[in-house]
Amino acid sequence: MSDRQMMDDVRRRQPDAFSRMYDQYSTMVYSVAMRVLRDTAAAEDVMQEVFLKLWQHPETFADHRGSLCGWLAVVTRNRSIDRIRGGRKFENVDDLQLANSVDMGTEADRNMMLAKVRVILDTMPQDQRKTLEMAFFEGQTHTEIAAKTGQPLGTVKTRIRSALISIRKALEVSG
Amino acid sequence: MTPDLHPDMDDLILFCLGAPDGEPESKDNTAAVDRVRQHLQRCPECSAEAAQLRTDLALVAMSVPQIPPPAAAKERLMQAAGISSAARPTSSASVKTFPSMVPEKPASRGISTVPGRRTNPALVWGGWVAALACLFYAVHVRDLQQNTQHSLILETAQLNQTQATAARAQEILEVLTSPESKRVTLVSAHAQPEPSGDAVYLKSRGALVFTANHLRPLPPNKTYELWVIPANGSAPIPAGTFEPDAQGMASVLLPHLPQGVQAKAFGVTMENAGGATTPTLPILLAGG
Repeated sequence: MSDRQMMDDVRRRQPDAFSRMYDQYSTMVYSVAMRVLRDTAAAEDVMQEVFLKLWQHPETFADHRGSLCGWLAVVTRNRSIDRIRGGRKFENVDDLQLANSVDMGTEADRNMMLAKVRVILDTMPQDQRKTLEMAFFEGQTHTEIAAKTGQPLGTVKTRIRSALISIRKALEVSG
Repeated sequence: MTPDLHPDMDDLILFCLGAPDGEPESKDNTAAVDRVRQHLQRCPECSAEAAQLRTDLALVAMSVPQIPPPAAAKERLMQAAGISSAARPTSSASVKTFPSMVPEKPASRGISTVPGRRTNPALVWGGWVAALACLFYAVHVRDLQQNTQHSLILETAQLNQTQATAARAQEILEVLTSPESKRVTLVSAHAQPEPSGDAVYLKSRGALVFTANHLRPLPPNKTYELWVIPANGSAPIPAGTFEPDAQGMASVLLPHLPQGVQAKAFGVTMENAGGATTPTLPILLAGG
């Protein structure tokens, strides 16, 4: 069953569709929360919050917002960072739009894509990867990263930009 | 009217990463994010770029090591969502009680299940208390085990990353130290390379290895001469004469030098063939 069909069923309040969605994406959602929070109880809380929000307000995710799994990943990361920041909220989830350019429709597509991304991350310069992770998974501002690493603010921005460009270029090249 | 300029890529990234509000040091960031937010409402091009950036970031998020959630998490979620087990076709995650610990029928107080035999009530209740304690302990151990398992998965992922980094460092080291590696110094294609030299000196042995590149050809009856300049201010010590080959390369290997001389610097001069005992100015190459 496709994500679109599954979401249609969730919108029709079908519990088995919600159950299937959990089975399909709970590990990914929990893993993202664990990567940010490094705490099993907090990660489960965030996971529950993300799925519950989707069950109670399925209109939050519209099909034109991109792939469901990508959307869940970003929402989970944002909710997890909210916790680190003491509850201050991220941008409104309603505004969260992803591109449809990356094909993650099937599990095989997704696994293929993620394998490529892991290779790119493993082979990119360590300082680029570390800076990206500090910004993305630790929710640190550019200024905070510059202070911690002793690098100029411009260098921090460049590293994050370069890391993201590397990922996009590599995916474009490999198709 | 202020022109609506496209935000630069860094501000767009900042927007997609989400800058925290209300912190003094992030005021600039917050202002930048606000500017981007307003701009995106009017600019489809930048909106598309922001969506693409979020997709890139989503891929980064999804690539983390995968850790399954606790087994009971699904049941907790379903309960919070108000979905009963009966409403779900699959209820594999539902927590079952331990049937062997639940009596089929409530036993009469103080009456043993074995006919004709009376038991002390304190012993019966003591047994149930012990059973409950075992149950709680079992649940606690299971949670502990799950936490440990998650930590292990996380640690393993970090170890894999560290190993990958170490392997990369090892590879770099092998490239740098392998005798089969070709070393090339790149310079401007239009500039004539400047003469240069490298000296490696071991004071305790009085041992010196010197190599030079891009040396100019010598006039007839002239030679280059290497000098050790002692740190104590005494006279320069001649360390051998040499002539460059057709490519301008030359070397001086382990010339006869006194041991234990602290070198302040090294120099190369041009001398008459056969060498000199004191250097003739100018010093063509110097370093220390």
